[in-house]
Amino acid sequence: MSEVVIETRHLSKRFGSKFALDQLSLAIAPGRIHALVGANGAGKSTLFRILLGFLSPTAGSARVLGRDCSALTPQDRALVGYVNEEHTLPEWMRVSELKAMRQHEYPSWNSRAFDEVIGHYQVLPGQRVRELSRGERAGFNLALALAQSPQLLILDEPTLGLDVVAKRAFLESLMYSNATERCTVIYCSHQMEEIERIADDLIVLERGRLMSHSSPDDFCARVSHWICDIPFMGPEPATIPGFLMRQKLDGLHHYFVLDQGPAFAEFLRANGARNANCMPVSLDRAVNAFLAKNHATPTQSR
Amino acid sequence: MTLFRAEWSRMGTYALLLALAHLGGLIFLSRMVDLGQQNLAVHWSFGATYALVGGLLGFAQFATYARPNPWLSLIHRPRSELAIAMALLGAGWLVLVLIVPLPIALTALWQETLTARVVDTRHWLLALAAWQIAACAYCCGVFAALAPRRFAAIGIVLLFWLINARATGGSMLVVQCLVLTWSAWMVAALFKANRERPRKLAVVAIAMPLAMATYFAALVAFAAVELIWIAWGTHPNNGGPPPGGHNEVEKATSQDRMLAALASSEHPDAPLLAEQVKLSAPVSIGSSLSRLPQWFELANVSPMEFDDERSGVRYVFSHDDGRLHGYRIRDGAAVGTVPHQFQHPPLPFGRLPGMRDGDAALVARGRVYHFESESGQVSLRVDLGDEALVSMAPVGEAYVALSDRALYVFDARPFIATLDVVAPRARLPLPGKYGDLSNLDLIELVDGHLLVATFGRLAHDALGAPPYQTAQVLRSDGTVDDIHRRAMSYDFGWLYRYQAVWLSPGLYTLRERAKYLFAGPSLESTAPAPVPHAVWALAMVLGLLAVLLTLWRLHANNGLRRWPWIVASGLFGLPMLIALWLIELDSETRP
Repeated sequence: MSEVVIETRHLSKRFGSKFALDQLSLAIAPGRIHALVGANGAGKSTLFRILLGFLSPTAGSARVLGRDCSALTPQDRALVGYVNEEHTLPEWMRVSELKAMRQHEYPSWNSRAFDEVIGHYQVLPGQRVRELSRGERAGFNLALALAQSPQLLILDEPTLGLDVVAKRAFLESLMYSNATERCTVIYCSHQMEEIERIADDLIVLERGRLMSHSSPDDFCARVSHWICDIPFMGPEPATIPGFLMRQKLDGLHHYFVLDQGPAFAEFLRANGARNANCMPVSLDRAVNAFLAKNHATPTQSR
Repeated sequence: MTLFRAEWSRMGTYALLLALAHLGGLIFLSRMVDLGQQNLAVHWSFGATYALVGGLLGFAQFATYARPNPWLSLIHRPRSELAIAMALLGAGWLVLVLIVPLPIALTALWQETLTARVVDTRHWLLALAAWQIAACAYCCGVFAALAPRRFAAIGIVLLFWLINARATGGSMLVVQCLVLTWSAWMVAALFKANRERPRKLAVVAIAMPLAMATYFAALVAFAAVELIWIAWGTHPNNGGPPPGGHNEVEKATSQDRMLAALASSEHPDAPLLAEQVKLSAPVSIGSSLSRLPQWFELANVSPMEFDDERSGVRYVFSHDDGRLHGYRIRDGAAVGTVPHQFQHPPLPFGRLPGMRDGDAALVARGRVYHFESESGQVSLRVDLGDEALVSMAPVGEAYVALSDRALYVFDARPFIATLDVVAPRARLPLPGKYGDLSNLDLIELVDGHLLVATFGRLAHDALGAPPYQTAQVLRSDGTVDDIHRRAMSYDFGWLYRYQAVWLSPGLYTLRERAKYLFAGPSLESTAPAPVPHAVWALAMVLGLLAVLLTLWRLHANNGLRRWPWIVASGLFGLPMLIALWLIELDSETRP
């Protein structure tokens, strides 16, 4: 395996006048579960399509497992698993038939990995794919993908539309599978509690640009949540260092700021705060605040 | 193979149901008529139905894969893209085998073994032809599902080729095979992970039909302009056509046409002949054949059968042994074969003088035969050598026969008196190509016939000869007096007549070559006028414009990518430039 499983350099993709990816340079090390987050339109799916050779970049380069993405061979594809949010599978086929087909197609088929994952679900071999519930289909799809023994597994919002039980079953079957340990997983999701639970590495994309690449804990440590009591109006956002987001709840001002230490309390007091307390931030709120910073508002768009 | 089986399992049940429905339909129709003896229009209807089934199957099958996620799931596997394509297309083609040719072959087997109807090798080959048509349309449907919408429908161009091709029999099977190969190539050009742009070398597979589709679209647009012109009221075909033009003559009565041909003649006999025309009832000789029957053709120009009403027997020609086979109309029982072996496929052709009830006249290229009901024998009555006889009609006391090269006058009496070959009394070579002939009018004179030939059938088109009329007298002794040759004026300017040429001489030539590829002798050949210099000049200007715009469009590309397009634009003009634009207009450049 090469030193990085995914490497992009100044990767750009333009659709008409809009850039879906903008000078994205990214290197993902092998192993572990890497979470990819970003608002809708951040360029996550476009990135996956380029990585798998289904879109050509406007500029820059992209490599997967050391191979240029535009020249992936069938052997390379055998090493990259992909699960999308629709869990696209041939609906007319029976579970056993589809499993047999994939087993025949993939030379490194791992039956134990398949059984390990599918054991979490009540899926019968004689059932047709169209007869499976959404959760069962997701589990079946994951089982197929892990049984391929991929070196890289890309999961693009795999739990979208699943209920709580199915979501938990999916995450457990992913986390506790031995096959997962042997490959690099790219997990794309909007569900921060999932990311918080499974991810070792967090990549934040915004408007096609790489905004952050660190562990989830490190990322949370960068974002701080300050609650203060300021009579009248607080400071103007433009004047707040590292400003991400502010809220006013029950007469108290909540400030989310990036890369600010205890000195930020002094800033707040200097702007009329009677007291200022720093609170721990969950990954969900940290990402939410981080992405809200540049979120287009009617004022901005004007 | 596993993917092939998976795809087959998806469609197998529906295929079986459709095959049964098709077989039921064919059995029902075979109870009503002899399907092997239907004319071209019926075969076209069947062909269109098979094409529709094939096209819909291809579109429906691949539309489910065309969206981004299913496409990714299909292609992202350890198989080459072309292997995946072959598995899916193979399954579709196999489904079509079940739906289309298998019921045809089963019906033919039933007709062959359990009825006295003629089932030739060509009828068995109909199954293959039907499959090839369906498979071509299937590939076009697949392409429509996978291609960007801006050029998804170009497969229609290939289907038009099938409709317009003049090849017959085995040659037509070869043409179908070519079209099938091309349509499969089109699919292969796009069957790749990134469908935004076709494969580099296979871009030709899409560019050529796309340029041709653009070319046809432009011609359709010209036709739309013409409709507006007609609605406006100034079109030459509106009301009274321009005087002296070919439209005026074609719309006139036979008598007026003949008078028009004589009007400007300085021949001393012209005034007298004009008087005789005014006093006579001219006969107009028309063609009763649009195409010549060919050996082993898959479809008939018209049914190759006739009924002997006296004995209640239907005789059907078999291409396999060149003989007529009879069966009783009442119960379908075989009554035997007429011993005469024909040198060319015959068609029923009206009646000859002296024929009795049940007798029939048959024309086989330049030969006319008399089938005698009583004896069951076939006699050769007229032999025009290698010319193709297209019409025969009584004119006064005589019989006039028109071939693709000459007009013959026969006495009617020998037809009645004997069963021997009747020699023509006189022969008048056609003063032009048969394909240009729009009217042939004649009257009987005391010692011969006055004939006025009008050549202007395609005078509105680049293919036609300059319009003209000839007036000739064919004497009883076989001598010919040329009375007059009158040039008629064009009713349409060169810009209109040569629109198909100046728009793209390359595509025009390609279109005509494709139409007659592997085709046998045709009645359509004309003597086109030389293309005017103005047409070439305009075509060159447009070609140069296409090259310059191509250079501008591809200024950022390297030579390897640019030069083939520049050469293609030079050869095929603006339609190829538009093809380039549409192919290169991907998601990045789209506004």
